[in-house]
Amino acid sequence: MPHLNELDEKYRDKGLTVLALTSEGVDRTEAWIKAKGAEFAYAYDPGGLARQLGVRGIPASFLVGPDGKIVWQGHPSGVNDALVTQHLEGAITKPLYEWDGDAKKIKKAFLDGDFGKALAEAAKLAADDPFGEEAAKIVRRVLEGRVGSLTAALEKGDVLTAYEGAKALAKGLKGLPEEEAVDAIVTRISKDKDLKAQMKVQEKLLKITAEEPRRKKDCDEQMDDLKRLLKGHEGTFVGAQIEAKVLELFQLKGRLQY
Amino acid sequence: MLTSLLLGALAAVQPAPPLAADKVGTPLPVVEIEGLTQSPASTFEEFTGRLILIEFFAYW
Repeated sequence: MPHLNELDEKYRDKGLTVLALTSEGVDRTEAWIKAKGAEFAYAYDPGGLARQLGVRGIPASFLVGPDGKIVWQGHPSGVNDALVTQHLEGAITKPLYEWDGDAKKIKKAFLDGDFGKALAEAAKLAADDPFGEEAAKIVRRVLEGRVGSLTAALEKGDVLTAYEGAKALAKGLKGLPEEEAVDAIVTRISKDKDLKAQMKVQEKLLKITAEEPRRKKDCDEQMDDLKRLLKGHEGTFVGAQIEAKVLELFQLKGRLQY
Repeated sequence: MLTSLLLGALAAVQPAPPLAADKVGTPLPVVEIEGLTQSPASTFEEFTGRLILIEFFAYW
């Protein structure tokens, strides 16, 4: 825990945000936070983020890059200066909650995914305030990162992520040069029978595994459905996703009591 | 010496399970947290664009 205080102080101004999450209750947690002298941000995780990330043992750490992708996971003892500095490139040094005055308009549009509006507001601000130019750079960088990760997703066969991501992103790109590239991703997938078929399998995977199994029997049912779904897709990205899920279910089954 | 032999035997019988499935390279799922404290931010969204170190912990 003390290491989080240190990392927070040392790298906050360089782009690092430290956030501790717990699934436990408020009273015990508050008492513990005080006792340990923790000064970093913390919050409660009722939504099951830990479960979604497959966390089985605590403590566990995840490092999330500026583009929202997980760049490292492991035991907190593995988080050191080298790891942090390695990934600081591209991280915003002035967090969104420090954007005030007219910059707030940029922030709102940005968080809404309306990159066109965000950049327009940034240009307006830049006329009187140099921060407008910096905000524009930040928005453009995040946008580039998002487009890049969609292209990367499509290239490695994660069609569903690319398709849904592109559709959502396109909404906020009216009139921007990136609009064409993102629309092209949606079009390409829509016109390709193979890609569409893979996407359907990914959707089926999500449907089959939507509910967390509570009994061994449920695990077996999901595993059977997944093994059937896997047929013909071995060696593909979705095939690997299915196999990983089957392994998870197998391990979960081993931990369930009945 | 006996202790380390015993510990060695135990380790061989019960390998530590991996802490988490491999999520590196995947996008962070949508985060719905509550009671964000000791932070100037009011929502997780305001961390957009930052390098975020998330540590799951418990008081025990």
